[in-house]
Amino acid sequence: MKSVLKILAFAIAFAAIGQSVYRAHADQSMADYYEKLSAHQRLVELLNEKAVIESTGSVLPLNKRQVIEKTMEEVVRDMKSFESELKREEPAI
Amino acid sequence: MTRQLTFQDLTVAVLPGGPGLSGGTLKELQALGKQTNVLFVEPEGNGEDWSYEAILARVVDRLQEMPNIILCGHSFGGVLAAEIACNGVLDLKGLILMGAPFSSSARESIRNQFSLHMTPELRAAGEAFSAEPGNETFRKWLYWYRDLYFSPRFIEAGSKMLASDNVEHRAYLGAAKAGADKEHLLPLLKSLRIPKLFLAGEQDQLFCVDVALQEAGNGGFEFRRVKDAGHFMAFEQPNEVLSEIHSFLNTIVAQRNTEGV
Repeated sequence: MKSVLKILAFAIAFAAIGQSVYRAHADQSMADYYEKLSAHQRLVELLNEKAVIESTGSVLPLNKRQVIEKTMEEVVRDMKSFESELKREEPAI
Repeated sequence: MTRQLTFQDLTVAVLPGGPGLSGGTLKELQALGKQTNVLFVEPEGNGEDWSYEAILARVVDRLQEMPNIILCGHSFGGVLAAEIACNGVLDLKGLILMGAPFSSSARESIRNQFSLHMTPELRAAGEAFSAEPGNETFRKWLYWYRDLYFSPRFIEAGSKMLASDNVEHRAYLGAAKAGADKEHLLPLLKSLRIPKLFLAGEQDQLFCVDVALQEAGNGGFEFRRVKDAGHFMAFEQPNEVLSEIHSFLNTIVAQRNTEGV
């Protein structure tokens, strides 16, 4: 009986480690994927994700909300720099 | 027997810079008229259209029927001259550029110099021009370029010259940005089989001489530094500029007559 419990405990621990490794890998892939997107594209994807989560009646996790806020700030920064680029006067020559 | 080409057969078409400056900023080149024909081509729009393309088309319209043209453009006028030369629409015998930038790196260098030499007066004049675009505010803005445009000895006289120039601010507003990215013209200029001269003011603080040298090399130009001159070299050192242009015209005439016109 003891040995059966040992095996069971080992299997549960192994599954838990496996799952966390899998999730870490999935998170990393997602992070890599997002890394390649512009802030604007990233924001669009994140807002889509938010809409899907909220449509099921679930509440958006805090860390997701923080990522969205951070990305929004990044988009605003990008837009401001684009705007000032447009406004930049060309020296008369 | 083929008739020999003479100085009297040539027309030097002078294109001022800015965009929006007048031929008055290059009036010293009128002296070329003692030996050859000189025509100052002022910037003109098409009605209310002051785009780069509209200004370019007006210049071509004015020169299209003329034989034996030498285009001589200062700064932005040089960009226009080069664009026309590359289009091959005129009977062009030579191209003279004075401090004309093409590449993105040259433009970047100009923007950096502009920022580096920014003064409170230049900034305020630029803001006033943006807030109320007009010839008067445009002139005042140009006046405050001062040491960016002129070598120390000519700052006062040069700024005064610009402050009374017959400017056209709509040309600047309509064409300055479009004319700021003309890097693609450099290889075309290089392949152009006409004599080409590039003059640069040794003390030009806006379009530095080393950057100009690189542009000239990439466009296949013969390069000459004008000593004790800034961006407005014809105003600052008229004799030296006239002498360079004169030798250049001499070469064109001699070359053409050797090859047969």
